[in-house]
Amino acid sequence: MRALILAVAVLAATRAVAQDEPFGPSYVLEAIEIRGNHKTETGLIRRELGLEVGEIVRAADPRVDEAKLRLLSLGYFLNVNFSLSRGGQRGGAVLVVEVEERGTVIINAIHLGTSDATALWGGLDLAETNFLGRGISLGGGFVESTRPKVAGADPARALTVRAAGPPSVSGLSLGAQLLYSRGSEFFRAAGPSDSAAPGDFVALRTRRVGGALGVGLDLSASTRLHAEGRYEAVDAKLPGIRSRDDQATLRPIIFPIHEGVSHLSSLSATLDIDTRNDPVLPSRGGRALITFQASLPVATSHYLFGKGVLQGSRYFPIGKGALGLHGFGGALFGDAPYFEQFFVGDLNLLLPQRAYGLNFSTQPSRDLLGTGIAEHRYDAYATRALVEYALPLWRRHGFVYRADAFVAFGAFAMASGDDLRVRDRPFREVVPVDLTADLGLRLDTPVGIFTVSVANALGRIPF
Amino acid sequence: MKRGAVIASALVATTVWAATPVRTTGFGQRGGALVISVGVQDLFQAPDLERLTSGFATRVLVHVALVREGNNQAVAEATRWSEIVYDLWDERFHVRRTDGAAVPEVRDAATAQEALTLATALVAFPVAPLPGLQAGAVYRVNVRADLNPLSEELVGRVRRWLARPAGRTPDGVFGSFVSFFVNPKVQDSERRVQFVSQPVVVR
Repeated sequence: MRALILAVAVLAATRAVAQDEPFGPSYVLEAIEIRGNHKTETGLIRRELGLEVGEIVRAADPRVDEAKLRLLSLGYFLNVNFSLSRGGQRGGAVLVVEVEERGTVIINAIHLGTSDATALWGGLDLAETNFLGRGISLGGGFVESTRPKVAGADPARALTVRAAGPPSVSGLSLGAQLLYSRGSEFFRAAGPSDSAAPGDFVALRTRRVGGALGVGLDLSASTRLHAEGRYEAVDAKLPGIRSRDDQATLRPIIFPIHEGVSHLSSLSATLDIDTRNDPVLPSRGGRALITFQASLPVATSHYLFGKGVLQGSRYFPIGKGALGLHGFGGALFGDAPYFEQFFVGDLNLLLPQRAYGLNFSTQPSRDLLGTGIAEHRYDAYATRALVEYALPLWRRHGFVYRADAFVAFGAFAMASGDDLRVRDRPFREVVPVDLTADLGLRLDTPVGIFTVSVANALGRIPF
Repeated sequence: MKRGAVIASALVATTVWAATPVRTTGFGQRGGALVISVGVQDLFQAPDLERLTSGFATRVLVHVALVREGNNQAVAEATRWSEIVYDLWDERFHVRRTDGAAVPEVRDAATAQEALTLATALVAFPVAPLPGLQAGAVYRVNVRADLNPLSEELVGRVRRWLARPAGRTPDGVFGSFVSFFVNPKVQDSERRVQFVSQPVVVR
């Protein structure tokens, strides 16, 4: 409410003043001096300025405010100050831009955990967002695990390298990514569905090598379109045991992948509408992400599938905090490898998430509602609704700029195509539902956003 | 009963205005309006004073809300928008002040201190027409002053850029490709002063 009043007041005052004559003296820019940039190229800063020598600049020139915000938006500077000093002739001035550089190495992710199946996995994902001072983002990450206790499983290893071009005034951006991963996915061959015992699972070993090229375009201040083309080679080795022993019956295990070497190529497009007042700890606005991915049997691709994902979040200030409503829905049609399907660990906050598409755990969902969701790991359809309340704890103090305490509660459901087609069971078993929750702190620091939460801890250790 | 004839400050036992400091504010009436006199000079610190001679505008937004005791809803609001600029060649300050929808008033100042006072001192500043206030009721004013404020839309846009600067892709197919960090300098304004007045009874 306060910010709204401020925004309305600024708008009203600005409009009233805008009707009058321009205020303050104007100067002819005789020179532009840039100071404090030990690393960032002067040319990059000058490009973002949007002001040139010879131009007339006013004391209350809105272009100056915009230039300052553009420079801050790069993320390379802690502070930017503009000032004018007298030029050589009356009416002339020298524009002085002083920048205070900041660290631009960012921690994107810390991969660390242990589970019944994998004694330890660890890794790190870093990015240098101003490589060589040229505004190029260069990042990479890795994850490595001990050998899982599932028979025939390989230790997991994944490496990724990413690069993205410098910011463009036109809003167009280019990026590329390479990935290598080797690991195992676990499929139940015996035991009850709520068992995480590694001995009840068999391992499908997969090796993936590929890359992606992407292009993004800012359609407006809050809307962005991103398109990506991707190719990878997949080598899958199926286990010797390919049937599940349910004591009473023996049924084949479905491995959603082509055995041996196969190729996957796809095109995807994402529309991102983001009106949040803050990307990390929002209290107003919302975000919608609509993604469609298609893999066609062209360009040597062995897979034919289409995948659509819709994600939406809306935030409302309530009391001293903010209420967030989050929705997710996804559907996949056709023949997609398992790592493209919806994974239970990505939906349930209480389970370990995947890293670079690698899963390290045999832990099923808790099945708190008794709907049989423990049977579901990878599915073609998934949905989740989550309610979250975040309460600001502190702002602008030391290393941690900001911190919020949050509590989240929700439910999710998963189903396979066969489940929906063959309706020989009650609906609650066809589309099983489970509950999920989280409680913790979200910390905003110079090197990244860190979440310290109950689910985070539970996801990293077996329980 | 004719209202608004007398305005008196009173020490009234009221609900606690949690965490917001109380600043003694002068109340009066002028031209049929409730007016206040108070200063927000503490909005400026030493570096800000030095920056007044930068050649670029320094802006101050003061927002005043009249609130009836026991009710957080504002019964009247008023704003003052001030801009201070320094002429490098004439070596003088110019201050433009806009109250609500009124025509802006431009004043000159010889020193930074004088310019600052013009921008931060509210003297007999009209807050609400007296006939609209209830006799015998207790009111306070909430005052908030911002130094170089930014609109919420602009702040949100900058923060989103910081989370996903141009030149980077959104969440990639192999996992998160988003580097999150937020520049602490990008706030609603560079500095804020906020306080409430002592209670006042309208007679």
